[in-house]
Amino acid sequence: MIIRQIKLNNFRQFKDRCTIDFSTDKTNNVTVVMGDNGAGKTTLEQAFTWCMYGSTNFAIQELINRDVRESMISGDIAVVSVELLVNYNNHEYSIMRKQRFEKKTTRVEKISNDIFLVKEQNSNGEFIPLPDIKGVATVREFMPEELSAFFFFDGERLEHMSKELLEHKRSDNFKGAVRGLVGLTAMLEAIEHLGKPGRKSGVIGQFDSLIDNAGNSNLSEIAGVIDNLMSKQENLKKQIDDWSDEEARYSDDMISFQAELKNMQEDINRRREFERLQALIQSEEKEKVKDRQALYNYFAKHSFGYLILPLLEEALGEIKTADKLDKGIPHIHADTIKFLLERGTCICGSKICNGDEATKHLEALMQTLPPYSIGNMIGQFANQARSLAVRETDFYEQMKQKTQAYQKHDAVINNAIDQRDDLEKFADKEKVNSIKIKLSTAKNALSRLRNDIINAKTECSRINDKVKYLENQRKEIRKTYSKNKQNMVYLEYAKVIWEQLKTTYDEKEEEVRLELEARINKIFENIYDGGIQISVDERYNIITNIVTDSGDYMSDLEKNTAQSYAIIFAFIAGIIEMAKNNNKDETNDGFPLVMDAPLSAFDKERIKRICTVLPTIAEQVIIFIKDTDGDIAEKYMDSIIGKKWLIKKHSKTVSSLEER
Amino acid sequence: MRKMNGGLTMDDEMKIEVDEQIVKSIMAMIILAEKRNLRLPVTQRKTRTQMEHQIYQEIIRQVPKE
Amino acid sequence: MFDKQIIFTGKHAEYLRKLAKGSSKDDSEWVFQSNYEVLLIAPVIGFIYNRSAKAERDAGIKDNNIFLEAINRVRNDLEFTYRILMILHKKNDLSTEERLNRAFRYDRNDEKRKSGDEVFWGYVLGGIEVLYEKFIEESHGKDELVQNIYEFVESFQMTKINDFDQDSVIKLCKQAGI
Repeated sequence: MIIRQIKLNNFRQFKDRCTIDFSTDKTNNVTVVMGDNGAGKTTLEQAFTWCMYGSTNFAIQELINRDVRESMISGDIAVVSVELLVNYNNHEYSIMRKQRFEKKTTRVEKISNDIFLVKEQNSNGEFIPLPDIKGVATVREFMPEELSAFFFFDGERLEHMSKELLEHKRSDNFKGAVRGLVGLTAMLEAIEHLGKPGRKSGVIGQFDSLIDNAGNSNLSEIAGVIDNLMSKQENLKKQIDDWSDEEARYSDDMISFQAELKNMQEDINRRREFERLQALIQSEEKEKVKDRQALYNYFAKHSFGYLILPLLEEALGEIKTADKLDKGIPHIHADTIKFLLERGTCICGSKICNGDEATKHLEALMQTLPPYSIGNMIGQFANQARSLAVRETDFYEQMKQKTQAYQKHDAVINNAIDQRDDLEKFADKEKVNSIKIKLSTAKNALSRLRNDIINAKTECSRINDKVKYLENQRKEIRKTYSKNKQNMVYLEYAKVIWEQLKTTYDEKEEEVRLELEARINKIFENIYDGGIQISVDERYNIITNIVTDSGDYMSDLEKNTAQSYAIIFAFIAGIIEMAKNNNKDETNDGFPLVMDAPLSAFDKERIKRICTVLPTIAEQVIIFIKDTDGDIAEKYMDSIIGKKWLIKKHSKTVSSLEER
Repeated sequence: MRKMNGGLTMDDEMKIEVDEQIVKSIMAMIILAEKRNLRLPVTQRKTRTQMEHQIYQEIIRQVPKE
Repeated sequence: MFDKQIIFTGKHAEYLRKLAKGSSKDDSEWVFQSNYEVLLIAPVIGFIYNRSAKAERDAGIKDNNIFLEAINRVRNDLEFTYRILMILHKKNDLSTEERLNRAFRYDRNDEKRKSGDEVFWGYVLGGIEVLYEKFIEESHGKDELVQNIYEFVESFQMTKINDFDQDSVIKLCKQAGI
């Protein structure tokens, strides 16, 4: 089926008449409808299903454009309609649903039920209305209602299903799809209506109570007990399912907590390292100060002996060349001579008189004696020089060493600072503790859940046993009532029918489920190069596995919205493919796909892939995107876009449509 | 002929035998009735109770009387 | 000689203050703990770097005294320095006799010693200037100072010392017969 056009009249935000022509080109089969959130994308998406099936998920009052509604005065009548022009099996059809509203004094109410009209174009080009039942049937033919949800995939459903995948909830969507594809809805309904052996409801239950009522009151009692037990069991099974889901979630949580903890542990090690470096820096700084002080002290104390070294040799040379080196007589001072002169007698006893030879000699001698003589002093000087020459021979080496030792500290410090600066972030001890607490909470919850599940399962099987026992009893008692025989025959037929239908249906459902699973995985190969696999179990839990390069399976889906959307695309594509296949006996144009596509949530690679896959599966693709995603669409989908539209929001209550 | 005992272990004193043809016939009627109902728009369909009753009647009508 | 306190004035007083206390407020960590340490090496440095300076007066700068107790600590070496500088100063211009007299004979004769003293103190001030330039002015921060001290020693080692042979000194001493 191909949709050519949708015409809206007062349908929610779309005041008065609005029309979109869709691309029907074989190659450029994509129509892009752009609009911001709130402009009317979802509304438009839902217009399709309202038109075709009358189903909505908004209240009837909200069907009619608010402006129109509010401007109605008592007695006014307004009309809401959506018309689709489609091509199916080379015939043109018009499908229209119309609802009239009347303003009664205070409220606007709908006037009777909506009108559903399907017209078929004849060879003259005229549109001839089909009788009601035929119309309905025709629509159901080219778009089965159970599957319509997947061909008209609006934003809310997309989000919902994405959540299902990310939170490991059981997918009702998947289940619905499979059931729709199985197509045996009538069978399903029959099974439902027949009831279930042991339950009081349904046809089987009715026969049961018929039998019980005809006879023994015990029987009704037993029937009641059995019914309760089975109902209890059903609840337990549901509970087990829910708990299992929760278990899976806790397991996931634990894995991610542990990973987080591991990261933080590394952070803690980094913090230890950081602190070590800090301590090193501080101790080196202290050492540096000490070394500096030592260097200063050394210099202050020893530099003299060193600095004077160059002068020593020269000075001694000078002394050596001196003529006069009065040595004088040891240990005699000039004062001694003065004394002798004054006393007039020499040491040897000779007389000394003023003016005589002795006196002159002594006076001359006096000049060579200290403090007048310098010979001793020179001698002392030379001694000092000699001792100075060796005093500080070490000085240069020492200074060199001390300076190097001092500067080495800087090297160590700078290196440490450098390393320390690299360790920028590190975890809080508090954060680590809080994760540890969460981890242990999850662990406890997990073990409690597992316990609960085990208990529940045990309980279920106990109930089974009990029910069997009671059924036995029942049969025994019933045997005794012959007038019940007829009823028991009825019952038996009902049970047999139920069982055959159930077995058949379950087989078929499993077949379809597995096939859908296989198709989706095949499509994944195109989108993800086989990097992701999904599997769907009987409870419709969807498990995504990431296949690593070595071919191993790795659990699980990253909590990645973009990835879940891609999975949903594959899922829808799989459904479309299968639906196409199911209808192979009829000439089938295939199906259109109308969906919400949050392009900006995707990675570019995925968009490219999906853009190549989808148009090959659906005959016609109508995607709704955000205004701001327009350039992404253009970039990757340009070669397949046939038409572009924009939903313009004029006000809270009014939007309109414009071709781009 | 098929023996159905619901999988219970019991003395085979009372085994009710069913006629497979009649089973098929009843089944067919039930399915047709369900399909007819599903063709109707949701708002106009029969209720569960009504459907159950219809099936119930069908069984009584077709099962051979002793 | 060196028997009374020594007073520094003008900029040299300031230099000395800075050298012996450091230019930072932190005076616990400085090369020279006290003035006399500077006094000890200043003349040698002045002579070796051929720097001589005159005392200045500046009303705005407080005088800097080195007291006798301090001087006594380095008296021996100071006297030695005096003598050696007298021996070597203006070697080519003054006679050996003149220089030796200056170095050794006028210890107690202030008058005769005047010209020698002038030379000596000139070197002291010059040496203070050199030290100030190298240690204070050119050092911004403790690490630079350490480096400057080292370079001072390095260059001294290379230029003044490396020809020096201490054996020859000893030989010379022995030669002097003492």
